[in-house]
Amino acid sequence: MGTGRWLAVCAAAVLAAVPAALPAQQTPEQVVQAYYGHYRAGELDRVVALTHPRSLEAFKSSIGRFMAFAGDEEDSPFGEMGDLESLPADSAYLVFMQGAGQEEEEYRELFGALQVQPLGHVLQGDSVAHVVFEASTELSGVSAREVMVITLRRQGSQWLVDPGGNLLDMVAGGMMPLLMRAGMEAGMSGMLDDEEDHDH
Amino acid sequence: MPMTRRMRRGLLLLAVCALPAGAAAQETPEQVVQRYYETFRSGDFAANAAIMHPSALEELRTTLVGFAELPGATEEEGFTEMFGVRTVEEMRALPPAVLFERMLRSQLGGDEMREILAGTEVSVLGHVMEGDTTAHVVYRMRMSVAQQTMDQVQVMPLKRADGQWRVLLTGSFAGMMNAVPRPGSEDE
Repeated sequence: MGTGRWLAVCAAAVLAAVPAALPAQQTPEQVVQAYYGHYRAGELDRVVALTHPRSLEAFKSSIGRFMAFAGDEEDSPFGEMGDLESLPADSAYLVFMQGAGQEEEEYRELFGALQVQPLGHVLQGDSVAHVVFEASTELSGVSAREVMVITLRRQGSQWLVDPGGNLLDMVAGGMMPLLMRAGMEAGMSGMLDDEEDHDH
Repeated sequence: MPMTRRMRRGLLLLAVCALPAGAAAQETPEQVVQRYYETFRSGDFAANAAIMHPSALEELRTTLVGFAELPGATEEEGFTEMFGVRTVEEMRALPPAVLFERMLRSQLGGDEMREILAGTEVSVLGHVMEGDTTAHVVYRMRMSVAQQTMDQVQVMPLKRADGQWRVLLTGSFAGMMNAVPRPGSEDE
């Protein structure tokens, strides 16, 4: 076989291999499913990997402002302000998440029972997608359902979740409305149970 | 031509003429959400209530009446001021849209809230369907409160009622209604 034919065979092999070598691009809906799946499993490093750098940077700035305002570094998982500043944004988010809500029993219960079903997405230009999804969870036997929206942005060829720089949104992965609702309804249910017990 | 046949033709002609006009008049889910926020900006709470889905208004009335039925609720300060009624019976007799309008007026009709709402910007981005009858409209809302600017993408559910898209209570709002502290609970 001549050199030209070898080159042709090699080129064909490379072309055939390239699509397999590139990561299959996930749809915005699939990314949202994976993102909350990692939340549910407590796989915070994977949550961070699917979070857009813009949100991570905004989160780090917000935490820095909060620490400067609160002035109480003892309770902070970062120790002193300098420790936070020296961390990359993704590490700062991971450290915060590992030290914060994950230890709370209610938090684990809420995210452990989390179910997410994407309904579709609305594009805003070429690089932003807003995914609408149905989320449900349970707290103390009381279930809550909410249709919500979360924003994703393209980073290269991949969609990444951008919950925004708001501290509460970042801690709860954009789930704060559902978590608040579950908490309120569980609280309300508890109040009514107490009243029934009191009446009897 | 017999009367019945002429009437049939007349009605058919009327229906054919009326159909495109009726179809054109129907607002898209996006237009309804835009108009919904315009009523907040203008303080036209009656128009806002008219955009709500009848089932949402009924659900809200059931919840509010449920709270009013709790012991001592109607004697609470602000009850009559808020709803314009003195008893549970009077409240129950109000049409759901009127009750909703009064609730909005009492909560959002003050100068401070009117100013905040007047400055609120809403950009509707599109919608996602859930089945044939429910549309979830995605929009971006920018609101300034106490020198803080809130910029959030949100979603609002709409459902058809008599061929028109109407706004449902969001899960958050319904949850909030379920969790409203009972009157007098602070004293207990």
